[in-house]
Amino acid sequence: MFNKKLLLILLVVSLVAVGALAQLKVGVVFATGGLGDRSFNDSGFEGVKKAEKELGIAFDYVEPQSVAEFESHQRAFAQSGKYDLIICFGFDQADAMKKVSAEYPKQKFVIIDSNEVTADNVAAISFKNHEKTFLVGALASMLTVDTKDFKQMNSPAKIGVVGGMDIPLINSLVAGYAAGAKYINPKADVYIAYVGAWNDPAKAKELALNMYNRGADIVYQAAGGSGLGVFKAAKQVNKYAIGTDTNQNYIEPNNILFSAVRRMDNVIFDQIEAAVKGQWKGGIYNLGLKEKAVDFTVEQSNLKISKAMIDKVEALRAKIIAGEIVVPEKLEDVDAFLKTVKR
Amino acid sequence: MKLWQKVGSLVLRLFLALFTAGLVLYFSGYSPLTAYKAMIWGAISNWDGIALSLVQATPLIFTGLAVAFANNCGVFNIGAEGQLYLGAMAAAVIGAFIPPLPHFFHLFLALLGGAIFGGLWASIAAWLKVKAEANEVIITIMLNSIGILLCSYLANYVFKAPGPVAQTPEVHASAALNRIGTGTQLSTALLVGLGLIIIIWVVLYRTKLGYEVRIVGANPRAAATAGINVAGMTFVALFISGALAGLGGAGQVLGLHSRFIDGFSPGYGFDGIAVAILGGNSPIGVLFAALLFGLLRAGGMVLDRTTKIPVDFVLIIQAAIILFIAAPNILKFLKGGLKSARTNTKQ
Repeated sequence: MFNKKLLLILLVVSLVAVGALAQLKVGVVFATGGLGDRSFNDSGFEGVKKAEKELGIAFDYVEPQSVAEFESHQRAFAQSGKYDLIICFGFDQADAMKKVSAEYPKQKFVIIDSNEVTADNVAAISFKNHEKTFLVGALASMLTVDTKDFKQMNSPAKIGVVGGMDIPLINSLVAGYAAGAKYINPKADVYIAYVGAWNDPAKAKELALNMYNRGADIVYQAAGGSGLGVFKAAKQVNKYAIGTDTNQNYIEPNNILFSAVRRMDNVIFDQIEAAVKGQWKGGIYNLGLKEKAVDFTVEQSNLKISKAMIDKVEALRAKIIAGEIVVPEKLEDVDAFLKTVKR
Repeated sequence: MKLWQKVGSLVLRLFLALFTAGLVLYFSGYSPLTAYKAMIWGAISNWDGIALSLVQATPLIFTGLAVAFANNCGVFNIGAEGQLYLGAMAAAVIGAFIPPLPHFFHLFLALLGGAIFGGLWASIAAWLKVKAEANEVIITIMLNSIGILLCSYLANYVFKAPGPVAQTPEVHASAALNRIGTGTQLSTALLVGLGLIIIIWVVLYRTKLGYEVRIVGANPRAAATAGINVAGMTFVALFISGALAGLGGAGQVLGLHSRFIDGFSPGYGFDGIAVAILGGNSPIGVLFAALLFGLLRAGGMVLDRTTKIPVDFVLIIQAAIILFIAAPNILKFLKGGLKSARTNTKQ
C-alpha cells in the first residue's frame, strides 16, 4: 500500500519533471513591420500560437524598431541559452544571422524568406511562390469562360498581372501565373505590367484599368502596397481581381475572387514541431504546395466558384505535388514548359 | 537651485514618470512591476545588459554633444538626424570603396569624411541663416528629410551592395572601429565619444573660440559690440555641431553595422535634442543624459524580448520619462495646480 503510494508520487513527480524539461522554448524576432501588419508577421505569429496550443511550447518575441536592432536581439536570445529555436522573419536579418549563428554553433536558428545563410544550425526557408500562382493562373483562365456564374466575364481568355518590380522574385510569380493560364488555354492572353514601386497604388490602378479596358476580366496583383490600387480599379469597372501573399479577399469581397497566399503559419508550426520531435535539421529549404507552404484561398470572398472548377484545380495541385508538373520559375521558360508538359 | 535639490527633483520626476506610465500599463491589463523589473534590471544587472545600454548610448553621446554645442552658441540645430545620415554615408563609402589602407590611416580618413560631410550639411543651414536670414530651425528640419532621402537614394542605387537589402557593401577591416570584448556589439566608437566629451569641454571652457561661442550664445548684440564676428561664430558652431553628428553616424557604420543600411537610425538625431537639453548643454551633462537614454532604450529592448508586453508600451514608458525629465518645473506646476484647486474649492 505504502509502496504503491510512493510509486504513484514518484511517477507523478517524474512526469511533471519530464514535462517541465521537455517544454520547448522559442524566441521570435519579427520583421520591422511588427505585429498588426495583417501580413508577414501576423500570419507567422499564428503558427507560433498554434504551436503553443497544440505542442505546449513557450515563446518570447520581440518587435524590432529598426534594422539596427536585429543583431542585438538575435544575440541576446542566443546568449541566454534558454531558447531551443530562434525564428527570425525577413531577408534583412540574414546579415546579422550570419554573424550570430557562427558565434553560437549549437543554437538552432530559422530564417524566413532567405536562402543566403548556409550553416548547419540554420534552417533558411524560401517559398516556391510560382507553384501557388500556377494554380491561381489556371483557375483565372478557367473562370474567364464561365459566363454562367460570372456575368462580367466576356469569355475570351484574357487576364492580367500587375507586378511590383521587375525583379526575379516577382517574375517567378508572374511566370507561374502565365504558365497556369496557358496550361489551361494555350491561347490565353496574359497582360503583364510592373509598377516599379511597392507603395504607389495610384499607378497600379492605372495599369489595372488599362488591362481591363483591353478586355482582361481578372487582374492578379503581386505589387505589395501598390496592389491595393488594382482592387480599386476592379471595383470601379466591376471586374475581378486576385489578392496576394495573405488573404486579401475581405478588402473587396465582391470583386476579389481569391488570394494566392503564403502559409507562414504552417511553415513556422512545422519548424517548431520538428524541433519538439527532435527531428529538426538545418539547411536550405525551398517549400511549395507539397509542404503546404503556399496555397490559395477563396474564404471571405462573396463570389462563389463552382465545385467543378475547384476540383479541376485540386487535380492540378495533385499533379504538381506528385512532380508530374514542374512549374517554370522564369518567364523565358514558360514557352518551353508549355511545349513539353503533358496535359 | 543647489545640486542636491536638482538631483532630488530629477529622481522625483523619474518616479512620477514611471508612475504615470505604470497607470497606463495597469489599466491596459499589464503589470507595471513586471515591466519595470524587466526593463531596469535587464539593462543593469549583468554585463550583457550594461554593454547593450552603452551600445545604445554611444550614438546619443555624439548627437547630444552636437545639439549642445550649437545651443551654446544660441543656434538650435534640429538637423542632427540628417547630419548623422550624411556622416554615416560618407564613412561607409570611404570605408568600402577605397581599397584597404593601413588601419589607423583608413579609419582616420573614414571618420574625417563623416565629420566633414556632417559639418558641410549643417553649414548649408548656417549659410542660409547668415546670408538669407533664414531661421535655422526650419532649415535644419527640412535638411533632415532631404539628407535622409538622399542617403536612401545612394544606398538603393549608387552605392548599393548586391542583394535584396538597401545597403552599401561592407567596409574593409582597415576602416573598422574594433569591437570591445567578444559577444557584444560595443565598439571603440564609445571611446571616440568619450574623447570628444573631453575635447568639447576643453574647447568650450578653456579656449578663446569656446568663450566667443558662449558669448554669442548668451548675448549676440553684446558679442558684436565687443568685436566678435557673430556670423562667423554661427558658421563655426553649426559646422562643429554637424561634424559631431556626422561622427556619430560614422561611428555606427564603422563600429556597429560595418556598412550603411537604409533607415538605420531610429531617431538618434532627435533624441540628441532631448539629451542635450536634459544635460543642460554641458558636455558632462550630455554624457550622463546619453547614458540614461541608452539605458532606457536597452531596457526597452529587454522588456520587449522577455515579456509579452507589446513594444508600444515600451515607447509609452520612454516618452513619459522624457516628458517629465525635460520639464524641470513640472513639479512646481503640479504643486501650483493643487494649491489653486484647493483655494478654488475653499471659495
